[in-house]
Amino acid sequence: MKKYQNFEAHDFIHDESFRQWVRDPAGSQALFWQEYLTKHPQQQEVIRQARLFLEKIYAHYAEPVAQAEVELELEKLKERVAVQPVRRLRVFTWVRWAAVLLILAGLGWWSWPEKPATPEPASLHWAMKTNPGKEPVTVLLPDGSVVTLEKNSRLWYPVQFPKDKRAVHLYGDAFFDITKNPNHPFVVYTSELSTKVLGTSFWIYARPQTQKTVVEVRSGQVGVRVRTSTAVPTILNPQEQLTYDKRLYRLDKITLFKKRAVFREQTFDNAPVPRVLVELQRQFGVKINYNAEQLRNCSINTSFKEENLQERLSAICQAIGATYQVKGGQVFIQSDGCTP
Amino acid sequence: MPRNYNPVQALISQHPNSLEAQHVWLQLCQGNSNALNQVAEWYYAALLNYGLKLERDRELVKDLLQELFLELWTRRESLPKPEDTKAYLFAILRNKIYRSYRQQSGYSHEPYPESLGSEELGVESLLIHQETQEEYHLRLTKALESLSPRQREIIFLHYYEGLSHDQIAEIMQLNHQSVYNLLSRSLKELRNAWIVGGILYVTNALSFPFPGN
Repeated sequence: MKKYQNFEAHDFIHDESFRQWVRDPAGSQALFWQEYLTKHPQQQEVIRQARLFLEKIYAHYAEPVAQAEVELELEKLKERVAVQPVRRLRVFTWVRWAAVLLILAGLGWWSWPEKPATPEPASLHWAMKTNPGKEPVTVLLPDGSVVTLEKNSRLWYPVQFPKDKRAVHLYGDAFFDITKNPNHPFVVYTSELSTKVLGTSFWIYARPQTQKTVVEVRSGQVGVRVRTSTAVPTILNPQEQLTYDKRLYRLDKITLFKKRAVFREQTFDNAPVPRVLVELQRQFGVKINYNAEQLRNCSINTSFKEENLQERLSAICQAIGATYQVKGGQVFIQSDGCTP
Repeated sequence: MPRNYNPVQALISQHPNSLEAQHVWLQLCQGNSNALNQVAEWYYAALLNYGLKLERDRELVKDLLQELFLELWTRRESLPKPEDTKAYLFAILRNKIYRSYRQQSGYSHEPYPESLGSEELGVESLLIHQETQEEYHLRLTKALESLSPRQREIIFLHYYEGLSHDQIAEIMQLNHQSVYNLLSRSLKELRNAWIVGGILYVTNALSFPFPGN
């Protein structure tokens, strides 16, 4: 709060949080500013001036833009982009560049220091999954990690992870269950934080509109860093929760007393495997491909509590002597069937 | 302020920070059409709102915006890596609108709408309104309308969009000093028009020291 104590009206007018509060007086910034006003009565007049001015500016310049109008235009754009011709092979460009490179190499330019590497290799193609619905959606990553994407959230992830690094970008809330791979750490970027793990499960709550980003660990260990800072990462252990306040630039770590309730309990009592798979598919929102005819005689007895999708699939496959694969965000079950 | 509040829209149209914006821009340059959609989702509403300050023909502005995003897509391999995506897009849109003025007719076309909203408000309505809030609004409107189109534009970019001097310089293609000068001149005139209206304390909000003011 110190930051604001010497603010004049014009400083407030340019403060993003203050602007957001004036734009949306009942929104995420309301609590902060109401509290601030009561604590700093000497600034009430300055704040009132700034607020009045901004209110008028917003009212004056805001053009009514209906949601539907924007959505329609965005749809139109998508369609137009889709019919754009596929990129042709640039053979000539290639040949030209190859020639240039040969010449440069001949001149000894290759010995020049390399440019600093770009954060992502150019060939990386990213997929995007948005969950606009009410139910959580499961995203299967190429390394077998499972992400449960909460409503109104979005995940960007590479279609194929590069050799050295596993990284995704999250807007919103999600639960991560990361496949262990000590050689290739997994990093989740949100707007302010980067969360690095080797193999573990944890929640991240990072809605852009809210003031706070929360990381909570269920199993394993994670390291959290403010993206713009060079400080040592904060290490979190199970049942520890870290909150980052975007405005106060403050990290707070607490230990939770209660273990968080698990979700998705399932009990199967001598259930036919095709039915179990349908149930899993529904629960996790992931497409599971299998040959129903082959699995006709397979049935299992089991109950799941905290197990993630992979663990459940492994258990089921083990029980019936089958195997499974994850490809393109879908599960494929291979089985020779069961004897009746 | 948001009408028909839609949480997904609120999530994705929230302007990104520079790291997110850079990441997505890089994806766009590499031919990821999802990234183009993301950029459009982030900036479409703000661009349309800005465009309507320069050109009243809504359908024309929307056409120009389609053209703008399609060009980003077709030119994706040679796109610059702007430091500030929003200012970059605002600048392109502004250019497009100016070019369309030139194409529209041979003779000089007033590049701005003559007034920004509130055309239906006459002098009478100014007298009828007793409520002070309403009065402030009207006076601000009057004061803003007494400014030149360029002055209104810079006030919009600086106060409504909250853009910095650097961003405004990029968009309006002015150098830094000209942005300073135009902004301080606009504010001075706005203040004067306002004081004539008898409202003093709101204008205090604007009385900050500008070099050369």
